[in-house]
Amino acid sequence: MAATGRDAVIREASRGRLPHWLGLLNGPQTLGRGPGFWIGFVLSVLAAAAYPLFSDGWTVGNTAYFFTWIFMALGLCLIWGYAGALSFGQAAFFGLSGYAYGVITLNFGAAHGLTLAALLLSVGLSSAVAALLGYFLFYGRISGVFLGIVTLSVTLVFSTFMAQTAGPEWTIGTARLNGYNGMTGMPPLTVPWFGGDIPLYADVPLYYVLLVSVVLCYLGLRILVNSRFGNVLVAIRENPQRAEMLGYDIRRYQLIAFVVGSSLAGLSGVFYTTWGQYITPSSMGLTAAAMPIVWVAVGGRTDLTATLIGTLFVLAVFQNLTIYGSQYALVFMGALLIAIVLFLPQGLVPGLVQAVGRLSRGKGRKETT
Amino acid sequence: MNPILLTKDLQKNFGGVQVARNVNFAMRSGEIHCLIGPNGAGKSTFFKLILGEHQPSAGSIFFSGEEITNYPSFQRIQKGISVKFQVPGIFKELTVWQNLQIAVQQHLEGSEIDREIEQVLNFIDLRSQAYERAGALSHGQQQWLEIGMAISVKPRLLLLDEPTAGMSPEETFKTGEMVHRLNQEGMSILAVEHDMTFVRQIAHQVTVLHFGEIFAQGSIDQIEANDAVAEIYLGTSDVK
Repeated sequence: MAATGRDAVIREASRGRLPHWLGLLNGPQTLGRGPGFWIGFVLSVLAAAAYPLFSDGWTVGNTAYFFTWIFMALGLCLIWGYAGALSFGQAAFFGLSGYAYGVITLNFGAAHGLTLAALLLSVGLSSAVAALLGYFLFYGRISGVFLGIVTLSVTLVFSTFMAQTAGPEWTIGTARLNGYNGMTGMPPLTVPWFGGDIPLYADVPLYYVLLVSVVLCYLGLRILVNSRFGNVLVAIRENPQRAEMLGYDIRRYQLIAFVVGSSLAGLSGVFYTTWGQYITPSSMGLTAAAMPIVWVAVGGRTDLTATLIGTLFVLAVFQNLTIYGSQYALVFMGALLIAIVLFLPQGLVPGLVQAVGRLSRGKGRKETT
Repeated sequence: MNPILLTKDLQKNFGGVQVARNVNFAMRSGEIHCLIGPNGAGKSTFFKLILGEHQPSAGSIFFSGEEITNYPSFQRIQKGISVKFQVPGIFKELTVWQNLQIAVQQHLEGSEIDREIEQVLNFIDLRSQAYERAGALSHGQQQWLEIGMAISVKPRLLLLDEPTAGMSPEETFKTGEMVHRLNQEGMSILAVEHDMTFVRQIAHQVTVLHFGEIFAQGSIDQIEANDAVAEIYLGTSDVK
């Protein structure tokens, strides 16, 4: 993301006023750096917080469903958009953590905050597998299209394996994997409380948990990509040879980005599983592996805000098309991806921001003449 | 004085082709050393061997007395070697400031980063372009930006691969002045260069490579007076 002379002004303005880590919310690697952006951000969060007051439970639950995917999209934005490594593995980690959550909670139940521990363990499992896979990928110097091929293969192998677990012998403890039919009956996230546990069904309480998680994840990633670490990721994306010749162990940086991004896909998997209380192998299939690429590419892969907005937009459009256009939904998604790649390669949101910038500059010039 | 860079019997083969043959090269600390030779002499391969982009087929490389033959590239940079590539290796989509920030943050933190960037910007004369996209700079300015990035990691040995390629005579002279100033600050410099005017401007010592071997070494005057060197450049001799 190219910065302008405005960056210097913002840097000067934020220096001394904010703690260093908080100052990193604004930086050259993220769109939206002025007061206008942050006022808009706060108003959007307030509107999202007030939304359940004016809507029915089903619609709120459906919006919570959209939120469950955001983490996976932001994770891919970090791996692909910032670190330049195209991964089709997000669906694999989504499924891995989803199934892990199911296995743990079906075996041990939901009492005493165990679902929260299951969430952490499930995401941790994705982190560990991502670290192992990423080590061989990045330290084996696999890059470019080959990285995409290997990660897609891993996803499809995992999906195919889970699909053939229909037989009664495929159980882990008391949890049946259940093949294509998927694993069902796991408890929702349950918060231990003084008057008794509070289960977070796909309704208003889960909506608020997801909203807070999305906001924290988004802000945390903004800090990360504007930090020293984020600068190096962008350098690797732009010119890996030069980044290495500045003394950076680029494989270590790529591996860390891959683990963080894949763990976020795992978090999506857990939230999705608790939302619907089921998970199936189709959530790791070819279509599922491709969808995050579409969300991130359409929104704008090199920016977190663009990815966030783009993902919500595409999910809403896709769901409506699925309801009203049935089989045409996937065709439309494919066409949208092709159109974006051809005409707005930087993505819809950065494209619109640039167009508005050009218009306002043109208007400014006219007024001065 | 101990050599800052030393290679012993360095060899590199690509299949049956030997592109570096028993290169025994020594460079003193504080020296500006130019590496010249006809196309295909093995100059770029020699650089890549020093940087760790190629692993030698045989032989060893020492930097400040420490063997670095098996170190990965990034570790060699951390030890104190830096490079400016022939084709500008900059981050074209980022601003000049960001390019330098990524280099400077390797060894500095906080407000020291900004101070150092300001100094480097002044040195490479790109202060007024600090917030321009690096890809929008002229070719010569891109070369200077890369020199700025290379020196921002505070190297003791700077490798310059054809630093004046594509530059006007004025830009070439200005680059020579920069090299002299860096050397006066204590930096050792090894440059691959074709432009003999530039070599004359900067070199303390010159090494001629030919068919992957050291063909001649000496001061620029000694090299220019060497008929065999003139012949390999003009192609009138089958010297091997």
